[in-house]
Amino acid sequence: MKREFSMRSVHTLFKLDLRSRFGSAQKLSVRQRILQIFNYLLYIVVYGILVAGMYFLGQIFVMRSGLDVEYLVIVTTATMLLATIVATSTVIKNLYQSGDNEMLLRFPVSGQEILVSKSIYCFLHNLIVCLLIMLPMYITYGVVMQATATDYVAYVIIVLLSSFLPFFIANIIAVPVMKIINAVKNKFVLVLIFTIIIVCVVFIVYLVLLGNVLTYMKDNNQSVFSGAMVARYRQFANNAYPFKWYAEFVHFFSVMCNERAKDCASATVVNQAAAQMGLRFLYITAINLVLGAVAAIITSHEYYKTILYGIETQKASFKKKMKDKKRSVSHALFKREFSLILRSFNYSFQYLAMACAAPVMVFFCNRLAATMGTESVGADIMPGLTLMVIIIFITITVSFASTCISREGDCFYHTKIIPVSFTKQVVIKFCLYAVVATISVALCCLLSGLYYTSEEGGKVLSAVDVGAIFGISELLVLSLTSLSIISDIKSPTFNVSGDGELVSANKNVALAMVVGIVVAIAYGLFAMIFNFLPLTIGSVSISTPGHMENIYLILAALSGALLIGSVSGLFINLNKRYLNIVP
Amino acid sequence: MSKKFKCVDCGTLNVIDVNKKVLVCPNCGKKYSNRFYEGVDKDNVELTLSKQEIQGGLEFIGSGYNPQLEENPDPGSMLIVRKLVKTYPKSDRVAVDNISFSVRPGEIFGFLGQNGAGKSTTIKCLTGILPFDSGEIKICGHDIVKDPIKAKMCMGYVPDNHSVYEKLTGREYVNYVADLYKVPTDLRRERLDRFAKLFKLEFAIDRQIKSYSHGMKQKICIIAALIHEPKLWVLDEPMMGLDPQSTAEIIAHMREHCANGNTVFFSSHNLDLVKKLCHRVAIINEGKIIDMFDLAGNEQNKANLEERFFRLTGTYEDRLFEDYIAQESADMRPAAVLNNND
Repeated sequence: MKREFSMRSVHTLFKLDLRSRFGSAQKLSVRQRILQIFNYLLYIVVYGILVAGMYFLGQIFVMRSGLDVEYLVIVTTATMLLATIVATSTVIKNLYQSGDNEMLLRFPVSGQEILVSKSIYCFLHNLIVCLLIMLPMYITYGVVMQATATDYVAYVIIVLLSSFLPFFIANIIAVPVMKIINAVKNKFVLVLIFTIIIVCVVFIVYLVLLGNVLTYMKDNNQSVFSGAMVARYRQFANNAYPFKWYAEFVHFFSVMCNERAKDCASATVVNQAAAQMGLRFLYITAINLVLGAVAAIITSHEYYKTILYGIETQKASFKKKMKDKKRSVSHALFKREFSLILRSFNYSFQYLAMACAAPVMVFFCNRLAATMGTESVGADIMPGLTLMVIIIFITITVSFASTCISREGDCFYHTKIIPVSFTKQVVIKFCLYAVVATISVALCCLLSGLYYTSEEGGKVLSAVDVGAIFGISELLVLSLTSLSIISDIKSPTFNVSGDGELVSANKNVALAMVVGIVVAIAYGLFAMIFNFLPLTIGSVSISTPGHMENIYLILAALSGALLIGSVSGLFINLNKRYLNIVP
Repeated sequence: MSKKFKCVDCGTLNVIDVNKKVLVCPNCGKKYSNRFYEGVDKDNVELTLSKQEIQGGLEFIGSGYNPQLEENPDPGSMLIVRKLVKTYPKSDRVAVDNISFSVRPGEIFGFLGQNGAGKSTTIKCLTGILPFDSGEIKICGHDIVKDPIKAKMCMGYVPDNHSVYEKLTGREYVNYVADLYKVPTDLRRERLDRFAKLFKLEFAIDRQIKSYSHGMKQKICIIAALIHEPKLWVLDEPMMGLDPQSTAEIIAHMREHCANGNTVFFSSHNLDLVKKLCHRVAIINEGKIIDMFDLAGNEQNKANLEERFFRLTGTYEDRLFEDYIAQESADMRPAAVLNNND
């Protein structure tokens, strides 16, 4: 290994890295191009909605409460934390878990050169993320505050300055994170339980926060801006080091420029603001220098060792003694499928963690929706709302079935050579997904049912409602699972990584999600609307407000038809379609 | 296009149309493949086979392969492939073009061909991995299309890429396969222990397969393929990446397997191994079987295998072949290195 450091090597490595990422432009068909444009438009729309949300939030804080600096501190903290999370993930993926590390080590380049070339990419990535996250936040703040042109210059400066801190913190965090990742390798159940708890906690916190915001928006009683809350915001803003320095830099810059622009500008105010701004700049520079130095020392010291350790433990595995005994074919297939899901962090998160967390998520989602919905339009929307929320979570869970063939990867040939019919193999997969989703739905209904049929929950649901919601949801579990498997049989993508896992979710997952969400919205709206309005066809009254029985029957009939159609679509002519799958 | 050509048998100088695939000497009826001198002569000059080529004994082409005969094999054959045609979707090339052959009980059958000749495609068709356009494949009398379960029950397959479920342990994987083939507990226990010992995998069998080396993965594939003692054992380039001891063990096991009345069908690039191990071989080129002949008890065929393969697949070049033969026996260390060491 060459020891000296050469910027020429860094340049070559960086160019190589960029070329491997963006070098090959695929020739797209017209349809693919249209889809690509549609995707970009979708991203722009989603981004636009987020920016609008930021503007709205800024207006609430700044215009209604006058907490402009506090708002700036809070959002700066939030955006920098978000940028730090993204940067940490980028650093781990690109620096430590990058598949080309082993290959690069064979070249006559030093570990330092590899580190620097990859760090340049990580920093640029981080800069773009910071610009995308922070710039709209500052711009919307500026619009709300009716900022001057010089303020916007300050915003750009502060965003550029802000891009260093997340990057340095990410580099420091990445090392222990990698050590933890290496330590929990093969502790699948532990990681799964931990993941479920994290997912639930994050979701609950999110919904509680959202609930508070919505409560404020709804009745404008300023519960979020009560005296106690405002004091808390101030306290937080005062203690949010080092993020408050960034916000205060912008604030004092603005004060200084605005004061200067006045005809009767006060030199004292201007000087004080300039001094404070300079002080903040010094703080920011100092903390960046310190963290940058710490990051450089830790990373340069640990990087080479960590990637070598990663390469050495790439094949780290566990040992497990099992009994050699005969099991039924179905049992063997079922066990194998389940083991492969459980032993993959990605798969168990996508499937088992979501299925396990769904009851908690549905309950809290329902509680929020119930509070907001029942207060504005009445308790009658609850059955429809519950149904919609459950179907959305079913969709997330069963969409995993749309990779059931693709996930076989290089071992797909195995499903062809074993003396088990394709139908049986697909039935087993179908059953596994259906069983897990069924348990998840049952728990969702049980939890929501127990609470919302009780006095405490306001008796907004009846036992009939809960039973019907379970029945309809179950029919949809089976239908959506069938549809997901059909899509994967039709166009599987065996794009697996070195450890045999799918590189990314394929288009079938997106398709399954879209179908499920459309069904959820359609069913939810149908149930909500016709619990208020009478449903008549000609002169025949099908359903009257407040009587959901016929609505449930209609939805159950629709779901039944969907189930018959999807199951037929899955199993009719399955052998021929399966045989024609060629990896 | 015509060329002058001197028959190696009768010595007659003939003018022959080289656009024909098979050239026949008008005087003595000896057959030649036009591949024999493709690229050798472009100028329509007199072509005579060199002494070495004559010694190669290549006086015929495909004389060992009789498609009509292979289309009507002994019904007791372990593997019958009849008029198999396979074309890949979105490809105008016929990957396997109307081939027929059969493999008898107790036989080790070698399947030879260059890269892309159609070996793996044929194997994938007969194992049920790929659908085919037309033809018939029977494994132990069971049609792979009409009765796939019974056909697959009689077969064990070792793929060329050794892909296995890497998140399972070796024992879990073998047990999984044994469950699918309905192997009773006591039998699988005995076989698994025996094979693990045979292939030196006792200490790794309870570890996840992802920690295995290339050769170990190959070994676990072989154990899984043998756990139900298949009547037909199909191996696609089985010795690749194996250590010499394991290669020896597999060869020994192949022989033992066939001695028990079972059959081994395997593809390989290792001509030396094929020569020593196989009862019969077929050579496939551009999707067609161009030759099939016995090796067992036929010393001339054994001796000529390499040259025959080189010539029939159209890759014969004096220099290359001489190098190949030289490499088989000679000390290949460059002299300069030896001198330096001295």
